[in-house]
Amino acid sequence: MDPILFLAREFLHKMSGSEIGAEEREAYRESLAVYCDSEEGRVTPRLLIASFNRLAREEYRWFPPETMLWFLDWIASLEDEELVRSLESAIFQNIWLEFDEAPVRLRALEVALQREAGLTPPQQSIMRDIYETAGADRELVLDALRSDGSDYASAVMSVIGIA
Amino acid sequence: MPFDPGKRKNFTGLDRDIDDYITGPSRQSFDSNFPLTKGARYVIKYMPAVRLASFRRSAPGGAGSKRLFAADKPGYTWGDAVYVCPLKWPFSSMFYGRVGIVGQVDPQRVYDGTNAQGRSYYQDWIRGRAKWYDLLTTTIHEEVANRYLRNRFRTYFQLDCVFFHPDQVAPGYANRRQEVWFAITHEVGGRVASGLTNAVANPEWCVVLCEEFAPATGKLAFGPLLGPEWRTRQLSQSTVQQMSPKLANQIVNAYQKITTGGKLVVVSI
Repeated sequence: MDPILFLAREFLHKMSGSEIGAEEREAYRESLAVYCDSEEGRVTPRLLIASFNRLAREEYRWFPPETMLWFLDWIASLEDEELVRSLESAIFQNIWLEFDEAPVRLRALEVALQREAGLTPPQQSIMRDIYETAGADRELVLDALRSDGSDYASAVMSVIGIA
Repeated sequence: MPFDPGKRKNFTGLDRDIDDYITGPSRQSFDSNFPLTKGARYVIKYMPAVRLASFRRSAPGGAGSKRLFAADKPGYTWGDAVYVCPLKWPFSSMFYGRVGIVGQVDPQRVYDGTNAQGRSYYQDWIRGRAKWYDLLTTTIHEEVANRYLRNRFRTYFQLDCVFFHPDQVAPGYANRRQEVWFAITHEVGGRVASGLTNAVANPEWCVVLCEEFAPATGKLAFGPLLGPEWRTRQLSQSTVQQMSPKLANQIVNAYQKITTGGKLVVVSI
């Protein structure tokens, strides 16, 4: 386990755990946002992303599904595009493979699409690999691509052959 | 958020009706019900005192304007947003915390969720979001699905604000038929997002409550604990309505003193 994620696990849980009170979760999320925007904390998002990039596939289940949803939403809310680009696309595939819960899988696809648009050629989209191994959950991939409605999503659908 | 229907595929039928509702009735209702007061639209957000320290450190790099946090927890009425109340109803949402932060809003694209037609449009629209709607209606994941559907709707129509009647109240303090709250959008790359936001401009801490509220039953209603013991009865709705304009004026004055470089003025309620 990456040492930062080892130390941060409890904090991540406080921000996302379903048994944590809603006000307490929000207070933790706000305090992280404030810290990340401070001089001393500015490096935090980069460290967090680097730590997730180092996570082995079998280590994802160290986190509950709620924490994965928080992580995906956090990525989707980052304003620094360079920072978002530093996240490895394999993370989305790992989340897909390690979490069977439909909301986590669907959200992973949505955020992966959002991150890939304008950055990754449709031919290299991770959606293709996920679709080919998705089995009965192919409908989730189809739904994410259709709902996205972007030109990029249409191009990926053409590549996969489901346009 | 700027909106170009041309960037949406198949923007016809229901989408077109909803956009007409946004630019027509919603805008008119917002302008007539929430005109500028003393040059601005003032809003207030109450939060627990435990979050005050974070708020006071929320200016980027410690400089410039402080910022409120657009929350992203499942269960919020219209999804991820900063939830605020127009200052003309200073009592309405005070059960959410003892610290009152005042700021200004100027949303461009607004959605009237107080209106049955507005809610009906939303309900019709989400039926077209196949998988999230499926998760909403047929699984245990309804809170998560609800949140993403609300965010998606607001992103799709690039809404800066949804206004709606309170769906949690402290009886007497809030009138769920007459009063209105705002869900103010924090936007990143044209999408509804969570995080520290400038969508509520120049927020400042102006209010401290001399009251403590606790959930009465479930999560639907809150009740005051101190006032009823002190006065031997709870404030009535008519007393609250009578006190509101004077209190709102007092809070705006305190806010203006702070934002023009004055020292911290706290209106104690």
